[in-house]
Amino acid sequence: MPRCGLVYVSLLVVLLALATGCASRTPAHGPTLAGALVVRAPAALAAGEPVTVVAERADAPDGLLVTLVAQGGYSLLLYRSPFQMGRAEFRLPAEDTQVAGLVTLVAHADTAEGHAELTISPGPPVDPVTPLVGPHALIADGAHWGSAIAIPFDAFGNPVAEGTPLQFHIRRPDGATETLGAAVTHLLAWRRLASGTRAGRTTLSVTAGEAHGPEANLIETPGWPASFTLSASPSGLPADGRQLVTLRTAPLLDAYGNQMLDGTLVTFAAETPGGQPRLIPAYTIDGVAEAQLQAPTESGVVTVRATLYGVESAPLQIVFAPGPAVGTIPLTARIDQASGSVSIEAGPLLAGLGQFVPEGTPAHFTLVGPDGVTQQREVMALGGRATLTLPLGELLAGEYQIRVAVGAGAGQTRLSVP
Amino acid sequence: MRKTHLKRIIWALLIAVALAGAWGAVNGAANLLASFERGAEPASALNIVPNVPPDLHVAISWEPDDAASGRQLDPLTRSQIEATYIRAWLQVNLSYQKGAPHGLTTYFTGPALAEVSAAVQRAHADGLAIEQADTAHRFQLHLYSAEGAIVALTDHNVTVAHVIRDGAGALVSVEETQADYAVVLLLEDGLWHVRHWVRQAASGADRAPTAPACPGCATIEGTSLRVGGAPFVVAGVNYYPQATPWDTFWPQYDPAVIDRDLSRIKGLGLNTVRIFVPYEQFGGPRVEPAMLDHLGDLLDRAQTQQLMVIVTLFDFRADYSLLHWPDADRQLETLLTRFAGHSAILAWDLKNEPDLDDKRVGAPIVDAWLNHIASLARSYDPNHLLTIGWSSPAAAARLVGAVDVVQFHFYAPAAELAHGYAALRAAAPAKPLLLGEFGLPTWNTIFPNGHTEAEQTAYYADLRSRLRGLDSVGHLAWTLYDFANVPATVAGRWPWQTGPQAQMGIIRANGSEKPAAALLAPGADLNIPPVPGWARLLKPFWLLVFGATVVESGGLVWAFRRERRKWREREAAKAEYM
Repeated sequence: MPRCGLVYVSLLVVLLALATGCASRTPAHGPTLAGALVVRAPAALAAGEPVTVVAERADAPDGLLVTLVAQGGYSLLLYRSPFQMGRAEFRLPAEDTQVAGLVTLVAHADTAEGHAELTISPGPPVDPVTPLVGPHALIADGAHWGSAIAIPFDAFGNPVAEGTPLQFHIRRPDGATETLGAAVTHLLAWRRLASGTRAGRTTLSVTAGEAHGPEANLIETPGWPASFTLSASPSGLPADGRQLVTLRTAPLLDAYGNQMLDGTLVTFAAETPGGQPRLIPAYTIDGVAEAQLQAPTESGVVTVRATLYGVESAPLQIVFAPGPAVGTIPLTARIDQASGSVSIEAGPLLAGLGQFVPEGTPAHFTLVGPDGVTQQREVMALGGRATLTLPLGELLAGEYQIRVAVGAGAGQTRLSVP
Repeated sequence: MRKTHLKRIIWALLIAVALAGAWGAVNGAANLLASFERGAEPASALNIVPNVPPDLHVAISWEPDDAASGRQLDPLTRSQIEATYIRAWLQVNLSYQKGAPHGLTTYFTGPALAEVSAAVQRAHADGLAIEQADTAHRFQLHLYSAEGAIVALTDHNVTVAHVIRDGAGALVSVEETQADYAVVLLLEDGLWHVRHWVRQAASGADRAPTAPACPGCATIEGTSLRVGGAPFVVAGVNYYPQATPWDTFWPQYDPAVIDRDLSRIKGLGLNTVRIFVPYEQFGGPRVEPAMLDHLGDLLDRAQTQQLMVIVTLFDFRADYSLLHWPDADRQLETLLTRFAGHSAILAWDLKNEPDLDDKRVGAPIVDAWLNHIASLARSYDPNHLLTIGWSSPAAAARLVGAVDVVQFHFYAPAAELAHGYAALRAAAPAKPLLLGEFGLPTWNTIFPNGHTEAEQTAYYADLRSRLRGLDSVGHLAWTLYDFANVPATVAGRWPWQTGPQAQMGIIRANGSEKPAAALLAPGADLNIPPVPGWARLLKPFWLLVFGATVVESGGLVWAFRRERRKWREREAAKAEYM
């Protein structure tokens, strides 16, 4: 197929020529306009005002389109206008100039370029000017501080201009008022708000020119309590394990006389004669915390302390007298041959007011036999008496010495066992 | 159509459908399993504290806090504020790219949220496609409120680049601007939000990083170069090791090879090498320490051999998208701060032939990125000169103000040099002009545009002679070696593409020097007789053309004779029949 081969060879030559870069190139056209454009715009503008920006170039051909890019804080806006007599005008409407701040204007026409800057100023502050206070509670010790901040803004929501004066109006818990001036810097105005020494509610408001706003509140709380004491009543109770002693703090005040807030936790810690600690939580009411301490069953001294916020009271010592029975206890021992038992009755067991000791109060009996052997027995009081019954067969013949002790009361007798 | 053909076609279709079905089933099952493994995104159920994406490499620094800044800002809160703010910028950029507010409510509140949302919607309504990126932030804290819920800060010299295209996709504007931003952030629901952000005039230059002094570094004096205080004329070569060119150079870096090659370059009477730092191979934004060490080693060895080095950055980096500008910034920062005091560096070449990206990316975007990089380079390394390796004298007229040395490449006929050079000199009257690449391949095969070593020698001599008459600060040939392999990414895959690239060296593949190697030294004798015009006819291509023509002509004659004979026979048969 000679003709086909001829065609293939020809095609190969053409393809090689194309692939190896023999194709002609279209010359590029030069720009219509190059170099610099003059962009004229006012240096400053009030927010929300329309403005006209002009791009100028004396040798610019009429009809050549100019694009203007306005780069603001958030937006990139594009405008187009043709050159006419070397000028291209751009009318930026009011709604495009509402955001305050620096606007960079860049005009392009073909490869020519020009820059200008326009600063949009915020308007005067408008309602509401809201005070931002933090933290919302401060210790009223004259040392702690919070911050009072306001971010006043204009009608378009722009933070107002740097240097705009405003006032923080403050009413302290003691009724005293003060006004702190501040100027807007870095978009906001702020003042350090030092605490006073009087606990209570501090109220703030802010005014900026004719603009006002809602109030804000700050609670000034009492600081750490100063040293405090405890009291207990009644005193002189017997260690009967039954009666209650009311423990009470002195009014809890901080260094400046501010009473602790109601509900402040106070922990009473009591150490009994047996060495057992007791923790009793309590909460302040009207500056005082109370707790009930049950009398121990053993007489002696109970030491009580109270703590709050790590501050500990002076120790209070409460003496519990022996009890519950007092005085000499009558003791009667009888032998009942019929039943073959010995009955020893102690009673009446009387407390301080002549009343029976509480039911179940233990009575400790001690028997010393003729052989000198001692036996201990414990019997619960019932109806003001404690009765010990022993089988006669367990006792040796001879003389027994019998003693009973119930709290602070005691009695003794003798018994001859036949 | 035959039945068998039809059957084959049906079978082929059935097999294709079966293969597609199998692939779909495997893929679906894999995705299902992967879905079970992953479970739900925690962020879909929880209020996750915002984090800066790990691939966001925006520069962040803090100035000292104001003296009276309220409460002391603890490091954790500082990092949270920083993360929120950077992420807020990213969401704005993404929203512009998407053409709709995207994820803004997580990072903005109050007036700022309203304004930024409106701005994004307005751009979309106006038919604009906006690409925007912030590349650097420098914070200064003014106030951290006592309760820890309000912050006021200034973000100094925020560098923001944008590309605006119209509805038809045409470039409308490419700009990079700097401005301060006064910012108020509020802590709401446990997350920081930008409440106000006001653009203000930039307050001043960035803090210059402390670069070590470099008394031996090259300087310029008018249109001349000086090294160590003495005039310096570049006589050099673009360099890759012979066995490991392009993408194999740095991964297989061999100090012994470098030493040997630098000695050879020195032996040729040259004083400069131009090398290339491939962006991706060096680790992109997170530069590989090993690569840094290799580069440092090469510079040290060059210094030992008293050779200067032009280090070409961002080689093979073709991504000009704005969101990735900070990635390049970080590599630039790492390299330039590391070697700011190294006196072996003659200049940082910011990009090799960036104008070749114009068609794909757009010249304004290429220029904007180069301006951005040049500006950063000066801040990271004020000691060294900057240049850009433009592909032609015409292209080198761009961004003259951004560089110290205007570098151009030249592969055109030597006779065209004077004209191109004069135009470039007019565009850059006060800058040194450097011929950064020139050369002629000695690849000479059946394909056109082949050249002989004699032609290469003549071209070198001609070009250098013409350059001597100009006020250039020197020349660098492309390249030292012929290579056995050229990656497809460099020139392409076809033999007529890779062949010339492989044989542009002044040293042959066998290690012997081509005659042109002797013509690069400053005082080289350039009196080389031109190659006679008829010599080109001896090239394989022309011989092939000649042979093909002869065969073709012979074939034509033979075919003509055969047809004529047949015609005669037919005519004779007709006459006999008649």
